[in-house]
Amino acid sequence: MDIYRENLIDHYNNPRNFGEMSKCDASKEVENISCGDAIKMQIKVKDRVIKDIKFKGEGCAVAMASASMLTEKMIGKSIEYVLTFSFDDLQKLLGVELSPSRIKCANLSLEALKSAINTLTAKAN
Amino acid sequence: MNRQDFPIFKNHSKLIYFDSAASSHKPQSVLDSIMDFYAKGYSNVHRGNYTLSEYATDLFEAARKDVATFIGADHEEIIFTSGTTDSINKLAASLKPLIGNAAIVTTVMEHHSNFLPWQQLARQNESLFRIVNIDDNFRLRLNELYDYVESDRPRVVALTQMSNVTGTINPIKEIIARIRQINPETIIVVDAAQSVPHMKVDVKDLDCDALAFSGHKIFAPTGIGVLFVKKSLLAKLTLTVFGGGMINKVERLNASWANYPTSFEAGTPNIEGVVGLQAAIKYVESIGFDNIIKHENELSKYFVDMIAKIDGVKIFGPINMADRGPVFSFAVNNIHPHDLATMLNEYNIAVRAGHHCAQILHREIFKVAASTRVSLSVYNTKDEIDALADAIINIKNKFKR
Repeated sequence: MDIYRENLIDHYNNPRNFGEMSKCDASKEVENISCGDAIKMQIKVKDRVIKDIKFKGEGCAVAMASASMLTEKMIGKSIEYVLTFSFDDLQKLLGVELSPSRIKCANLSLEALKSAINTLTAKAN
Repeated sequence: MNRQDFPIFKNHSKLIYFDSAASSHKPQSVLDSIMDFYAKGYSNVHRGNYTLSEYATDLFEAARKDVATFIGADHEEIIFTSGTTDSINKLAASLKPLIGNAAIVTTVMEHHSNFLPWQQLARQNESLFRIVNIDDNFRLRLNELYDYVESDRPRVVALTQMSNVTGTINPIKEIIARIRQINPETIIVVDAAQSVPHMKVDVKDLDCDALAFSGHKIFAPTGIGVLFVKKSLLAKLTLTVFGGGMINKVERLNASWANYPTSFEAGTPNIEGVVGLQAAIKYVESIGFDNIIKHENELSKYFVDMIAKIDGVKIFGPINMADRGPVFSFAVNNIHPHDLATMLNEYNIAVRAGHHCAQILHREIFKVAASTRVSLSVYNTKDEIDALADAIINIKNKFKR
């Protein structure tokens, strides 16, 4: 199955919420050493709700589109919602079924986002 | 040529397989040899006093002789291993006491398996570790290598005969002769994993001290490899793997060992692998290196003609056909190698995307995290390269902004 649907290519070519915030509540960069992809997620959180997300990084279309779609989806959601968002949910969001060798690419942004939230809760504790 | 010899293409008739540098497919004759061995002659080797075991032992030792002849060695100099990685790790560990804290030299174009064992040995021995660079034409900086040999007096120089990334073939014979002039004490280790399937390799002609290759890249099964070590060096190596089959006499507090190469082959060996390797060598010899080189050079030239001219394609390797093998790593502007490989898969084209076990080369020299690699073999055709060129152009259009 061709995973490179128009929607995915569009998010790759025109990533949403791409860039950097000068001030954020938490930030995390995750790297996939095997292919050199790196995604950095910055979040603003208020009352346990994600107010804003910006991401930056370099990667394949799957990694970049996944990050772009994820940011769109998660702005306005509670941090509990994000933390329980599974890889299956992400795959549904992407609208494609990924082969084992590409799962890491898609998951990079979700991992970065969850880690960013976790640094926040770690700080709070 | 020879596509019909490989049953994989009967089961995957549309498959365009461009990943032979990672692992080659197997001809029917190799598969048959293994089936025949298990069906007609199997048992353990070197142990039983019964007909089957003697038969298997004879077969095993005859295969060793064939492997030795194939690379111009003596059969006593052939140690069977699980592959190139195992060969080089074993050798590095066996050299540890001998070389003490003398410097070790390797190159930036090595596969990790001819880099990490030396890097780690240098760390353990707290010795100087030098990495020779490549020039703008993806060739080794030979003067840098000779300078290191002269100034640092390394005991080991480990280098590849052919890069698995750039396809560069190093002038090993000339390099070894020059190193011997500067310092005859240097132990020269050659990684022949990529070269052995594509050219005649003769250890006597090269005058190397050790050489390693894998079976599975030269049409043999996985899990079998070869470590050649010159007799004069074998006698000085320290044994590092102990167990069955490698002993002479075992006493309560001490033991003595079998003669080499058996002393380096503890445990039941990969007998079917050795049988398969022998059949693979026969297969290569039946085609002949002259024909293999002619075919692969033609394909390589065609690859450069068809692929390098595509707008946005950059090949990380020599474009000149002299002293280069049929391995091409490249970048396509704005398309990540993983995307390209996944999309080529939609066209039944199997290529490799990644750093190809050469991270430093990619990160520091090419300044990319990954590249896409096409490697060619006896079963590839010009039509397949045409299909690749068309596919790359289609994929580029799909990604157009």
